[in-house]
Amino acid sequence: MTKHGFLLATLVLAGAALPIGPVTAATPEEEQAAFQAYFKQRFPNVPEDEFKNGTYAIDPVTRENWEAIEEFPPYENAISQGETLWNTPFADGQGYADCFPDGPAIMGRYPHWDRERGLVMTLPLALNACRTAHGETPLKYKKGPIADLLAYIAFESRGQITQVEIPEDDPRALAAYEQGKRFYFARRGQLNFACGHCHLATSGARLRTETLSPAYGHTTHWPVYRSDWGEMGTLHRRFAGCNEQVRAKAFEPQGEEYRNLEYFLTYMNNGLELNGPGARK
Amino acid sequence: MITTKRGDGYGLAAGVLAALLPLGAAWSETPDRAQALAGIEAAEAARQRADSVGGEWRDTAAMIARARELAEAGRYPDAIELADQAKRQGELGYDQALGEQNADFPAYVLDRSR
Repeated sequence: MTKHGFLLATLVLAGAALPIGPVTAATPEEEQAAFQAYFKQRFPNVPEDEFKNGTYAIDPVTRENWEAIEEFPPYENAISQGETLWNTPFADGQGYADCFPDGPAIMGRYPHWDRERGLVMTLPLALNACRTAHGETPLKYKKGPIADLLAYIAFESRGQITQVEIPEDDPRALAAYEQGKRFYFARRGQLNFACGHCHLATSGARLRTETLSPAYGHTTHWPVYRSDWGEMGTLHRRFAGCNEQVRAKAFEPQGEEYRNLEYFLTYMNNGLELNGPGARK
Repeated sequence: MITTKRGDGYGLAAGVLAALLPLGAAWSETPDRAQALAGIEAAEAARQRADSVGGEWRDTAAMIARARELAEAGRYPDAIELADQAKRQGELGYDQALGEQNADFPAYVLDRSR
């Protein structure tokens, strides 16, 4: 068996040994409490406010490298370019500030349930809605100018606290949360893995040279400059990459599947500080 | 046989040919273009069915595209083999998606808090 084959076999066996299946129904609040308690028990030496740093909260060796990278952050250009974009008027003379009068520090308001549209509104979707309302073409969602804009907004929003709400008087919001949850725990792709297989019970374990990051903290620091990409990318770009890693066909960025997934996952991270943009391997 | 009349020789040759015809027919059953295209069509149908429930796998579409290329190049057995694999991926992806539609928190997370 080749090294690669052995690794795959190990992963598949690990996945098979970690059943993810339905348990008795719980409310989102109960699930959030259980989710956060799980990681606090799994990593008892990690202070709660450190989980926003992902793998670097649990792996001292990679943290040392990351801290060195953060001395000259690779996302600085993106912040500058994003600021320029934010302040550049559209063809009609209006700009982002007209759509988001409290901006640019608005990252903490997203994602949220948009009662009027009946969908999960993410910040990239809102930015493009602003653009199209003013006659501009929408930006692509994975990288490029959208990531720059998000980097600037994230930087200005640093210190805000994740506080996603699921309004109880609109059952469609709970349905979106449930769909996001099912996506997170559903096995998919040729490797038959769910998101949870890598980022719950095996978080902290090694996958070749990488340390699998805990799901608690996954939504705090976007967009991210990934060394692997050599550029900035959005959260939905990462979702797509993860799906492809388990050999599933990725979904469209900002499609309903990933927006609901973001809604669920960000709700799980309620209480954590936003510290984007970030740098990751 | 050497002294056999010419007419008898023709008869023998015809008999031998008649005996070999079924065997020849079996040899000619190597896959042809129509079979390859049918296999590709079946694979594409399975892929679309998996995609309709969000269960398509990463490489299925690429495998079908490659099978089409092989068929165009006249490599029908290879095209059929690849199309069959893609079809199987489509079937497995569909079953997987249906089987996972009620996926939820694992007990090892929720039970700890109870």
